[in-house]
Amino acid sequence: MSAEFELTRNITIGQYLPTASVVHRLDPRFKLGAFAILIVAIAICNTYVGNLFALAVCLWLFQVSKIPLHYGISGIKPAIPFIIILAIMQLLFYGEIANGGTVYFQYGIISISSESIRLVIVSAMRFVEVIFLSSVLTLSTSTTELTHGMERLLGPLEKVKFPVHAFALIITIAIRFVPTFAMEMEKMMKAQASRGADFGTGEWWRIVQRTKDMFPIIIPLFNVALSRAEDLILAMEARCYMPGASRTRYTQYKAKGIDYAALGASVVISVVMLGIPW
Amino acid sequence: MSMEPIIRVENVSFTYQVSQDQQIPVLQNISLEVYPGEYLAIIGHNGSGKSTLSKHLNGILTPKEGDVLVNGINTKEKARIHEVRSRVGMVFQHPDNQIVATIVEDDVAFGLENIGVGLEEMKERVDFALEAVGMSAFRHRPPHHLSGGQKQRIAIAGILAMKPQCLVLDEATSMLDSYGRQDILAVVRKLHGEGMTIVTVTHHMSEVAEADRVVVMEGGQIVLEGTPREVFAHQDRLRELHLDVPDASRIAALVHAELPAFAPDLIHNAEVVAEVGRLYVRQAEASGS
Repeated sequence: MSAEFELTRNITIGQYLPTASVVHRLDPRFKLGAFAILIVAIAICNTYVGNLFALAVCLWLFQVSKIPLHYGISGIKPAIPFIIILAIMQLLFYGEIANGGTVYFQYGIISISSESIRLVIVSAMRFVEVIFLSSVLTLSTSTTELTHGMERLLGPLEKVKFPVHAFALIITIAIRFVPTFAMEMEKMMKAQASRGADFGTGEWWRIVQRTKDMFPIIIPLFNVALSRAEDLILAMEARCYMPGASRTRYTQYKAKGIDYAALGASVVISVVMLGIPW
Repeated sequence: MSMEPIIRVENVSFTYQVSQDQQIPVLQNISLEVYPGEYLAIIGHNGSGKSTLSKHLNGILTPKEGDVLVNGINTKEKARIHEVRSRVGMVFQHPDNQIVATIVEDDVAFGLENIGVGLEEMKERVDFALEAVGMSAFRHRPPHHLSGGQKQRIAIAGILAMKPQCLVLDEATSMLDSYGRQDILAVVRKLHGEGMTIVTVTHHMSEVAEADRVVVMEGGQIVLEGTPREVFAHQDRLRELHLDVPDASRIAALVHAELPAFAPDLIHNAEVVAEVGRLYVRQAEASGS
């Protein structure tokens, strides 16, 4: 019972795993860029061998970043139902669209061909690869570095009046307040429970009931969030924050050789992956 | 004090608009000057307008009538508000609600980024500010791993980095435990010793006793003003205003009522001890001779 209320203990903001590997030390801008290139390549690649190669690259990345593989596998677990549903849909209904190859079975709109089987297998592999890649990225990069990297990469968009800095600040503040609100929620749950409220004891399929159970928490939490936001605005204004004003930056990144090498490697890997004809 | 005040509050009135035809007057024709190097305490019970007044000192609120001048700059001048706010820094009540960044040093740099300080100088100032509040060892920590007092010290560092002339503390110790409060008071005392002007809005009378000057507010007006010793001499008046006096003052008044030789106007604990010592020695001398 007590464990139900310990929200702050279970909080992992991002899932940074500091192993101080080469991958961890990469400049976040280049790291994000390299991973983005790999993910795009995987999204395009539709050959068996190409995907096997991509899978091998992913496993190699776990190795280099000194992150135990089970972290990646635990990321796949919650996605398995989606992968299966997707696979069944593709297997049954994609035979017509993925034309070519031999048709093995046809009944009404259901058609299974060698092409649709390939599509099923390839997209399941893609799924796994993308999860692996994003696991390596988030496990090897702190949330602060991620937001900084993102802000710098999106920088050019400022020219078309996209509020890049405000966007990055929103993410930073959101991350900053996750533990605060978790603690707040913990307090409220305890307060309501001590007055006899019930949380999570209803059957799981009674979604409406379980949602209603959360109202005494959610509403005060919103209230608190708004008053905190108001305070935060005052504090930010008192420190000369002006939305849209130009600012300098405290964290500066300087690309080293290894960062260019990482970006280059991602391009080479992508070219090889897409060049494999089978 | 003949020098120019840092902050000049001139006939300021302020009202909160509740609805279209209902306004609540919060400040009524207030005038106040804050001088360089001064330690000023503003007290008053809830709703007396003291927090509203403090928010006028750096242009977070601007007066409905009257003017607030910071080094001669009117806080109503939108274009120069940065100058005002980097001269008069403000620390708020809730330690959690004023930290913006996910890493301590990033947060201290936040104000500097806003006023466009260059990288080299920014690094120096962040180092200086963290050192001044004794938090250098925590610079790479996420703020949610810090205690309330430590968070509040980070908030002060964020202000110090902007090199203000005046630090306004708006009930900055009221959410802290007594250990955290002592921590913050020590930092404030040190800054004041180094020449920083301090304006503190507080409920804690022991903090007030440390100030050079006290302003007592009631119903949006200043009703008492003077040194802590002068103000705490009006114990009955303060009680009417639902305000406390320091323990030392209360004890001194109680003893004075019974034993007129005991000085009534004490405000620090150490003074009570000294006074008891003085009378004790006199008594010993009298009985000895």
